[in-house]
Amino acid sequence: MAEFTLPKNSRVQQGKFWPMPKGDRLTEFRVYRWNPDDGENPRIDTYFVDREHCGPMILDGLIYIKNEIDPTLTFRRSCREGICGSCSMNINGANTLACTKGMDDVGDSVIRVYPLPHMAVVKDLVPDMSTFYQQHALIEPYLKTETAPPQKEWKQSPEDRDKLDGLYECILCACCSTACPSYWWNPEKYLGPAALLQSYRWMIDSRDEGLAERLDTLEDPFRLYRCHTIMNCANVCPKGLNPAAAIIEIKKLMQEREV
Amino acid sequence: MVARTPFARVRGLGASGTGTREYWLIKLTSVALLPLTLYLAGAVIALKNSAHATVSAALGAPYIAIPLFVFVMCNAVHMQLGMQNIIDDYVHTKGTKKLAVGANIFFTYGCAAAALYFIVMIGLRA
Ligand code: SF4
Ligand code: SF4
Ligand code: FES
Repeated sequence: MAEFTLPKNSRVQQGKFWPMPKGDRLTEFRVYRWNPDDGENPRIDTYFVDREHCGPMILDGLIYIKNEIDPTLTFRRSCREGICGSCSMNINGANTLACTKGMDDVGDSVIRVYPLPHMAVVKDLVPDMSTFYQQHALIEPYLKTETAPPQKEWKQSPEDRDKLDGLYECILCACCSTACPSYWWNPEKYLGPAALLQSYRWMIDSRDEGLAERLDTLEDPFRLYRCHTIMNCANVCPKGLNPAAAIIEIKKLMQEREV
Repeated sequence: MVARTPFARVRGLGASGTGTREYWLIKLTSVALLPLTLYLAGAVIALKNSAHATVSAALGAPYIAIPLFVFVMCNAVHMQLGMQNIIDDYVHTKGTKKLAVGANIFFTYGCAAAALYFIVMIGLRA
């Protein structure tokens, strides 16, 4: 059955209160901590970030904590400008990128940071993304052709290229899939909004010849049809994309073929 | 337990090749049920204070019996597929799942069979 409560060893406990830095402008951070090596339950640690010596984004706050207060805090980040998709986490109840979310934009004076929901945790804010990435691999995210390649390149009209807007920008941050209840209940069998959005991106690429196989891959009650248009995916996507709409388009193609 | 690679787990047993027809049938029956429900609810209201004989006669007349027939069948299909969706979402243990899927089919089509039987009986006796 789907599990609606946390197993005993995942129940979150009260953690440490770290010393406050000096300064008048302090912001409180409550951060999920879990260490696979100490055998303890996860805990919530409280930190105070000195805003005078820290940038405005949540990621700046986490970097401040790591540099100035607690070097053991573990999280992923790279580009710090919303392009690599590394720093996705759950901030005050919504999945988003820590680097593009301002500390003053969460609508609360306390900032609560958790890893992406319903994923196995590797350490602290780092989830295990291997299943998510393999679901992306399964939809074969590349141009598939049978026709002999042209001398120079596969051409595409500007109008056909426009059809990829709103799809190609995905940075595979997994904010959408891990916000999707259907993905929570069937995390392996349902491919999730991110992989399905990418599948559609290749389905409608005018240069691609693999549409039939792409539909075959998705013709399944679990891989595609677990989506019930709950729209959590579109609500959280930090790039403003709409995976739910792409999934509806895939279902239309399926019906065109079957009915 | 066999330790499989993440890709093997994601691939699983492959795509079953089904889903679209069921999805379409759910939509189709929900569209059909809308006017049918309104029409039949209207009929019930119109017959509110009528005598038993009048109501049985109306139930036997084609303009009620036929929509009622279609209503019962659409309802059964819709209920079965809807419940199947809920089972697919939440029930993951092999044995329990088979049981739930089977029970769902027996229940929904069993209800429909009973309803159709009584519609026919009322029609014949009217
Ligand atoms: S619309 Fe579909 S993919 Fe998006 S959150 Fe809902 S069920 Fe998940
Ligand atoms: S669709 Fe949006 S939320 Fe989902 S993985 Fe892509 S960028 Fe992230
Ligand atoms: S650090 Fe690259 S998206 Fe946030």
